[in-house]
Amino acid sequence: MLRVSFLCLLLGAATGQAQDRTGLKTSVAVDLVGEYGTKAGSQANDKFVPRSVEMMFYAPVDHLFDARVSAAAHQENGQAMFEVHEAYISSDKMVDGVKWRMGQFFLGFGRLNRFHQHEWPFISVPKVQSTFFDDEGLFDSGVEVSYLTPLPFFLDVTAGMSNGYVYGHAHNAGTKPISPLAWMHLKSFFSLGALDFQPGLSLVQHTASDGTARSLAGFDLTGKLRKGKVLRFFWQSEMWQRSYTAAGGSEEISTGAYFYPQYGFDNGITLGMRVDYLTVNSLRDASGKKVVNSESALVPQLGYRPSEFSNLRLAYRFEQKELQPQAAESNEVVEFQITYMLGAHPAHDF
Amino acid sequence: MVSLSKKISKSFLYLSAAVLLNSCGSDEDAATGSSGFTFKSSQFNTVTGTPTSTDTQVTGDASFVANTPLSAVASGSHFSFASTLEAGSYVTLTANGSAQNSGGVALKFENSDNVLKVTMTAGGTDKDISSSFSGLSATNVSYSMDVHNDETPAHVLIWAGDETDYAEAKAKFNSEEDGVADGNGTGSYWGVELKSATLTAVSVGEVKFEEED
Repeated sequence: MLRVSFLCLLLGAATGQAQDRTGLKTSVAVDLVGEYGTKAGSQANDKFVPRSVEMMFYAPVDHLFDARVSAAAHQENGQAMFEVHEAYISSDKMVDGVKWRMGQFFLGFGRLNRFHQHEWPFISVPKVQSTFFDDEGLFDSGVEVSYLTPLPFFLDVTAGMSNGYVYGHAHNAGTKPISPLAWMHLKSFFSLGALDFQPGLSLVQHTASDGTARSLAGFDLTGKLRKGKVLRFFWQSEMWQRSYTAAGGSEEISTGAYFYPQYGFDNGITLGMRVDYLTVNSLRDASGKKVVNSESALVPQLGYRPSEFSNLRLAYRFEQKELQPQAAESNEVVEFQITYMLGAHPAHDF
Repeated sequence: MVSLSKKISKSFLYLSAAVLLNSCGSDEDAATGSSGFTFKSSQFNTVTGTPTSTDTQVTGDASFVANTPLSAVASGSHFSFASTLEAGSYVTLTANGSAQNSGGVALKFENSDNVLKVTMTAGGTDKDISSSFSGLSATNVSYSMDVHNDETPAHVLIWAGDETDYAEAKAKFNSEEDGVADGNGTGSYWGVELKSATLTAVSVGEVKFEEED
């Protein structure tokens, strides 16, 4: 009897019947990227690798709760790493207008941080994102509550708190912080004719166990103009300012942003251009004189998206680092990416 | 293309307000010493002592910081230096410290009775890492090092001065394998401290080792 049941279970999983009975949906997202430096001494990887392979499971648990689990495999210095990105339970059915989730997840602030890397609209990580939130974004275990305010216009308020034992990508357990990682995101929505916009304001706060304190404030804006099924125009941008004080050190203020406009043609081809900028506003030389400094990049990108399950992209990244009085240094990199998804995927945010 | 950052920064007018708001920082962290000198294309401000500098060397009992800071507190940099040490003398290179040459990730190379003693200081804690340098000259020391202060704790790699393959496997010392640093540097300056030592070369640049995704 047991053997028969086990066989049925296997057959059910193999044929997808389990999805029909329990609502369980599974998917695998593969993110293949390559980058090649065009100048001698470039720090580009000069190879084509799977950046991540992410498996996702999601389903309603019962009449109240939904749940999601996702785990990603990626390589670091040639070693295969496997980490849980998301493992949370959530509900929007307990209190009118209130959604919450508890567990491990990508923290719900800004724009890029709320999405898996394979869902981003460009290949490389904007400098402001990698400097302030690490390449993949911040994910942690905690609780997050969103409230859709009963106002005459759309305003969604999200607040959350997580352990904060580590900040960003880590392969250790970290240590108990002085104050946990806390964040807030105000999100609105409006339309100008056929053009839809979603602006957001974010605050993030964390004080690590050694006293290193971070406070960040940001503004994100996403815009979409659809013509039929074609995303004719797409805009995504984030601007952030960070206060960073190492334990026993002076406060450092940095400001950064990226802007990404994209035009879509009828046949799935897209053309976009990302602009990156980051500066340390408070940087002084040892004599106390302000130092002009910046890291900037221009990243034109050609994309082909035949369906919502696959994406091919080719980009050229020209980046420049300036730290006066030293001569500016530049770097040029050709990037390409193939992402594809096997199976279903959950509904996306705007 | 050279003025790319300027063109971009001009287009970000709304960022300028934030820049202005934060451009009024105090100069509390400025180096206290009034004298300075130039050595190997870098301008240094003296913090303590009276270094004697020529085109080819700096000598004396002194502490000095480079006038040009690193790009940020949480940043990574590559340093290289060469020094001649007599018995009882030492040279210390400090990354991501204050303008007073303190509070950073410090690597001290000391001639202790003609045996090389190397100490790494981070988060205010000293760690003896001499075992990674056993049998190496205590008189003529030449090393290059990556200090990744954008990792927690700081990741330090030290290679022989003539090494050109900056892989982890080629490092004489790798803090992720040979002795974890006890914290991070707290500033955006780098500097050198000499005690009866002769510094013949020192430079800073971009990190040589990058973690691969």
